[in-house]
This record gives sequence, C-alpha cells and structure tokens, in this order.
Amino acid sequence: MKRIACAIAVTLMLGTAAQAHKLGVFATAEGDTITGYGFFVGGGNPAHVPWTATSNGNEIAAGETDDEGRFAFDRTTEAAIEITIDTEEGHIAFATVDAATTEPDITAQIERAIQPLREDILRLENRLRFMDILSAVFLIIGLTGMALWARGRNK
Amino acid sequence: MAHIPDGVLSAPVLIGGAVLAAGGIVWALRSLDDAAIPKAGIMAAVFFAGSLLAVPIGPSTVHLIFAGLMGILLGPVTFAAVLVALLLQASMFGFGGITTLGINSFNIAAPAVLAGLIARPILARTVSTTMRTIVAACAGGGAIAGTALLVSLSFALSGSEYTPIASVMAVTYIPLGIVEAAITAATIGFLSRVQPSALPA
Repeated sequence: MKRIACAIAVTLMLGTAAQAHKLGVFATAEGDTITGYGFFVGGGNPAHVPWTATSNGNEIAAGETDDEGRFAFDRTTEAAIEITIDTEEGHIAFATVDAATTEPDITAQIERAIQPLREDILRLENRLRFMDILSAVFLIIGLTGMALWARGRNK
Repeated sequence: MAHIPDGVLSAPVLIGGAVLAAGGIVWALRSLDDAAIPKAGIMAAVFFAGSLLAVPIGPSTVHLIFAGLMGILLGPVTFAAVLVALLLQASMFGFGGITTLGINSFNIAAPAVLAGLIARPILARTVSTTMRTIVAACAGGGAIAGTALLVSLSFALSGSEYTPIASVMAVTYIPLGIVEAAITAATIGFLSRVQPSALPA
C-alpha cells in the first residue's frame, strides 16, 4: 500500500513538469494575414498536421502546420473565420477570428501590443495545476472512504 | 485519442455511449465488494494522474491509460474507476468533455473489462510468474487495441469528417500498446512475486 502511495506521489510530481494532452488553437488577424498555431496543453505542438479555415461554412484556406505547429494564410473575406486543426487520430481543436472591422490605427496597434498577453492568458488558462491534480486525487480517496462507510452502515 | 471532446460526435453515438456506460456502471456497482473499493480508488487515482502525462509521438501526444491493469485488478469495477477519473479530468482540465463522458468511459473501460475477463481466470489458475507476465502483457496491449478500435468507430459512426486515419492511429497507438503491455506485465509480474494475494483468485 505504501509503495503504491509513493508511486502516485511520484506520478503527481512528474505531472507538473511533463506534458499534457489537450489540443488547442490560437489564431489572430494581423492586417490581411491570419496567423496562429496549434498547441498541446502544457507543451508540444502538432507539427505537420492538416488545418482548414472556413467562413460561413465555406472553406477558404487549408494546409499543413509547420515544424512548430504554426499556420498562416491571407484573409480573403471580411467575415469571421473558423480555423480547425485535426491531427487525424482523434484530436480536434477550433479557434475563431472575428469579422474584420475598419479600425483606426491606434486600435490595431493596441491589438498588436497585447498579443503576447493574450497568448500568455491562453496558456495560463490551459495549464495543469498541481493543486487541481492533488484535489482530484483526494476527491477520489474521499469517494472511496464514503463508499466504505456506506457499506459499513448497511451491515 | 481516448479523450474525445464535445461537439464532434453525433447525438446517437453520444446517447448510445452513455447508455452502454450506464450499463457498465450498474455492473460495476453490483460487483463492488468491500475489498474492491480501496483497489478501485487507488486505480482511479493512478489512471487520473497517469493519463495527464503525455509524451509527443508522431503528430500528436499519447498518455498511459493503465487499461489492462485496471481490467485485471478491478474487473467490471473498472467502469466506475474510469468514469470518476474522466469526470474529474473533464471538469478540472477540460480534457474530453461532459457530453462525451459516457462514450469516452465506454471506449476505455469496455476493452479493459474484456481483457480482464479473459485474463483473470488464467491468472488465477497458474502460479507461474512468467505465465502471469505474458498474460498481463497481452491484456495490456489488447485493451489499447480495443480502445483504438472503439475510438475510430465512434468517429466513423458519427459520420464525422474527423474520423481518424488508420495509418496515423497506428503511429500513435502501436507504441502506446507496447508500453502499456510492458507496464501491465511489469506490475502483474511484481505483484505475482511479492503479493500474489492482490491478484484475482
């Protein structure tokens, strides 16, 4: 029992450092170019996998991500664009770029300036948190205790 | 992979998966005895934490499932352990999804339980550690192959444009199956040597 507890503890420690598994997409418009990348939560990129861009249900661009999971294409429509990355083994993720607006330059500059912040927020939101993992494990232990208690009462 | 997200499967597949998983849960609760409860808790925790660790292979990343090990040690109770762990992963980290909880549980637990049903009587009959290790390896690898098949089937039955491509699946699932077989074999072999009473009798 002690050995198993140790094994769980080690796994948990690794969990904070190792890579996780959910696929996400980040996409943004810079002038007439749409750029972005796919990422696995916690690290890793879907390299050389197909991506497609659709607008109002019509495909407007498609291709394969590069070594770092990045993609880029020219904006050919003013409407909102949805980008899909499909690793072809069951991982799919979507991102939407809002409809183009005729913004004054200052807004566009601010947009560019806060771009890294947006990426940081996305990564923070998708981070695996040690406390979350720990609380889930203790939740499972709690459930186990409740089940044993309930069965003990019935006797 | 085994964590299919919300919004890509069709309603009949989601409902079918939920019904099958519910049946599995009923079976699990019926076969739950006092000795199985702590074991199920430990395996649920191992599966929860273990399947958060993913390593990049091919275009994707894969993570351990411990399916064969759960099937051997827990039998039908695997359904309950998998459901609890997947529910927590979906609600805390957004892995998988809430609507796909049923089908994801079924895709992981059903092959594990089947592998367990086949392996458990063989493990109980023999006392040879070598034999037990071989059986465990087959169960570990077989359960992953079953999950790969069910995941593909889930997409295909949905008529999804995201149906996994067999060659890409093979690149990611075959190494995973080999690693799972090795881990299941090592764990069961270890238990067989030091704590044979933990194995199914």
